[in-house]
Amino acid sequence: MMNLATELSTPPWRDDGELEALTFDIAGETFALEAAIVREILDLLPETAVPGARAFVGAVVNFRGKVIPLADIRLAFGMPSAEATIDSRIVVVEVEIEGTPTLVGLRTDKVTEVLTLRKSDSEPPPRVGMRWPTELIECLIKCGTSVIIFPDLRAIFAANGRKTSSEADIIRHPKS
Amino acid sequence: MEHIADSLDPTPPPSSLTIRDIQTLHGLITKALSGKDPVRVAFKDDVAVDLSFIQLIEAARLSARNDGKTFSLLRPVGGNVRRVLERGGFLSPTNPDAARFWLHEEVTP
Amino acid sequence: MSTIDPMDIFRAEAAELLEQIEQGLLDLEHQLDDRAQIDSVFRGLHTLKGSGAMFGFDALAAFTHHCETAFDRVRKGLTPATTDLVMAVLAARDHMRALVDDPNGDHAAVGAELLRKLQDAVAGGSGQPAAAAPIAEAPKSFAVDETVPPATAGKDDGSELHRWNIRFSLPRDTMVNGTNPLALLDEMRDLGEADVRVDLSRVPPLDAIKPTELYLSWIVTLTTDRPRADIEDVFIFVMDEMTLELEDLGPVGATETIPVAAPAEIAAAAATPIAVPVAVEPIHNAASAADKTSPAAGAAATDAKAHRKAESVRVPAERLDELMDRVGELVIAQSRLTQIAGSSLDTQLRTVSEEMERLCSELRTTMMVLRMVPVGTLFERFRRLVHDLQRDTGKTIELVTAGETTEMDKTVIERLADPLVHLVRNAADHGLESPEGRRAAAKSEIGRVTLSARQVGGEVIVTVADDGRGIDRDKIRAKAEASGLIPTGAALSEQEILQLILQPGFSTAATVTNLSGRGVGMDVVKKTVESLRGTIDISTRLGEGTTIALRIPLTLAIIDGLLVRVGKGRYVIPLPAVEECLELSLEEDLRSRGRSFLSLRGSLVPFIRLREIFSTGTKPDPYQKIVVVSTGEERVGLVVDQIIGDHQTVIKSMSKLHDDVATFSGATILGDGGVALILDVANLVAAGREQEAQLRATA
Repeated sequence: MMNLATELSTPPWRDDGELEALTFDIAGETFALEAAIVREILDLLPETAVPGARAFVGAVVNFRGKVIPLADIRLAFGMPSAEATIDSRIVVVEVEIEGTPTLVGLRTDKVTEVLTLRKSDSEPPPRVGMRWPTELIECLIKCGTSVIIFPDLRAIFAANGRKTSSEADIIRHPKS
Repeated sequence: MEHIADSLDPTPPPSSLTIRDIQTLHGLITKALSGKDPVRVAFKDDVAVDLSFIQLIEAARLSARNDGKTFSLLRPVGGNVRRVLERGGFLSPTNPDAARFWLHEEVTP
Repeated sequence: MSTIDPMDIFRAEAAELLEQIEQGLLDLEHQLDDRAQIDSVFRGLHTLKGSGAMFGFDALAAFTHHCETAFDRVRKGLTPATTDLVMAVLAARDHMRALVDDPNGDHAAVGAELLRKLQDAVAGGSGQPAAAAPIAEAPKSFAVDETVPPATAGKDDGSELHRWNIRFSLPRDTMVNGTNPLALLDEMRDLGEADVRVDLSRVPPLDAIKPTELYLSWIVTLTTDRPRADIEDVFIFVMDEMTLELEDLGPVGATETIPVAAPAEIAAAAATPIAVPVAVEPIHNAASAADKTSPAAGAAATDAKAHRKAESVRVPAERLDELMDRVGELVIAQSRLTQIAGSSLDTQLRTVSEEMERLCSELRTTMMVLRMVPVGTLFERFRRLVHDLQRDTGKTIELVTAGETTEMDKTVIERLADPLVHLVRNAADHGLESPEGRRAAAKSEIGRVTLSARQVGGEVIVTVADDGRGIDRDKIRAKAEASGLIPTGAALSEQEILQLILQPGFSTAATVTNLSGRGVGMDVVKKTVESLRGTIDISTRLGEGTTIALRIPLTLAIIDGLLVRVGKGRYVIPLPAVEECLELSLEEDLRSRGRSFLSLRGSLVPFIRLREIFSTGTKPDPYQKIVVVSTGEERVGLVVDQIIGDHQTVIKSMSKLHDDVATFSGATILGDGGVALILDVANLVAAGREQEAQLRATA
């Protein structure tokens, strides 16, 4: 299957091929997101479950007087959820969802550091051998001996469970 | 505006002396007047100019007077600036002070 | 602190001007000799041209100039106002809008065509080519002047030289709005010999000045043979908000009088910051008094307008929203403080808390009022719609509006626009009969659509009514039964039958000719109104017409709610929907297993165990409660674990990621900082209805 969502949004590399990124751990893997979309890193907050919502956005939290959804990448990637630890943090990012800038909290096991990533170190996710769905991953970035996963938030928020959004993508990019 | 004497602000001077750039001009002049004394202002005569700029300079004169500073024009105005002054009734013969400031002229009433 | 982008100011201004122009033109269409409207359109065009040029919208300025010229001719009586001309400028006005929205687009061809039509209209009316005659070249004596009575005794022929002492100051936002005061001064110089002196006394020092605002005012001694009205005419574009003092110093002739305002005095005024006494006389009144050519109706219209333009400050909407958010947070913080103070023995703390509570409540009320705008701003758009509908349907339609001053929350008004367009369109298209049909029914050929608003308690009722053919209930029932929307022979009240037209499935059908189209978009109307927590009432009389009333709560942002607990979660039920709270007895609970109906004073009410649909995974509390909620006629009981109490709720919307969760209409933040979800009553009632239908089907 062609990964349409990836074509829509590659990491916004700067002209010099670099990118400031915040790295964090989930389920033993290191993830990165462009630092520019990160609004805040929070300790865990009391969560309010939203009955009937898709599992990976099953709760909301009070973020400075705003009610924002809390997303769990583990669940989006089809992994079992995990108990919070003393290192668990919420990374608040601002992403565009269906044209509306939206604040979303991401559950992470641990926030590590801000790194400068290089485009030359990146490669598309391999078709096979990944434990996670590749269409939700933007690219992999080699960093020393480890590999950092750059998730595709847009695909994650669009794809998980709602057909309408992914259909819309296909309409915008017909396979000619 | 060519430059503001005694101001080392690296901000490029605005291209017009009109309401489009008046916020920038306000900032430039405020900064200049909060620094050294005296402050002298210069600008080209053929630049686009409107009442907002004249008003701003009058405000600056008032501030300088209140603070006991010297604020003046490097050279007498002509061209567009002078025309705006005339049309706006700033150079009335009943106000010799204005002629002194804008035209560097002494008027005997 | 963000600064306001002048471009945004221009766009907002342009939108208002275009609105003003449109309204003026539509009024003119009905009464072509309405001086007040001619002036209003001319002023609008003139200001739009000036502002456009100033903000770099050159194409707009150039195009608008031609329309302004045409209207200047009308104003001066050189060209009569004709329907053709009004239509041409109305079309041109739409083009101006395009030029504002997309200044860099390619509009030349359209513009040229519109100008050609405009020229034809002007030429057709006056019998002479509409060559854009610049204002300056216009004849010196205007037709209208002859009917203006002399404002001052002793200048009957209007040719005698008089000396005038004129002091004026313009609104602060004059320069931002694109009016150039220098042009006004030049115009005054055109009238005669003018001695212009600026008054600097109100210019503040550098640290206090808002450099885009105008602090200058002027004193002019003018010697002219023109009448007072001509001097006032100079200020025609700004006169609504300026102050003008116009003093006739008498004729200048054999007895040469020295001007009262001696130079020395002026110099003193300019040098020392003494406020120049200015008679606050809105020139506007003087103008309409002098304008005897327009009948009382015209004067009344201008008065109404002056009233509407009462002093106001333009605030970007998002700042209001920000302020609303802050007030919301304050209300939340306050309720925390109240909680803490309530459990404290410190009387001082309690006193302060109570004082804060009062202030918060007042601030909230003030904030609400700030967000309120008159619904008339919305109604005005419909005149154009009806105008176009007349053309499209070939029916003569009269739009009557009432209650324009009724105020509603800005957001609500914006969201009501589309539903109302649907309703008005339907009323005109399908509610009203053809002229022949109306004649046959012994009705006036002019169909009437009434758009009205009024406030009743905490609700505003917006009504769209027509005096058309009405809706045939039997046909609706037949149609609904045929399409399977309701079971055949279902016992439904009249209102229930009418409400069927709001169902998504109830679309147009050839068999229901008099209703065709009513189904289209009606479900959208319903959806929007429900999202505003409103309801729709429909009433109709065959042959007499249909009235659709939208009942909308006054404000969206804050509601009173009942806070309940289900499992571990807390939820808010909007209080207006709550009918009563009962205890679910153990036996009732057992008896109702699998049925979920409750006998309430003889009638069966379906009830929903929220614990089950929320999958709380907790054991029910031993004494569960039922909260009975309703949407007018339908009721449903919600079984909850605990009723916590009343709670004033600041509504926060949920993100798009939760769009698919229909059970909740929003969320709110509680005193302890936690989040509670707000139940969507309409949705739950619908769920109850389904449950009931299932039961009936299996019974």
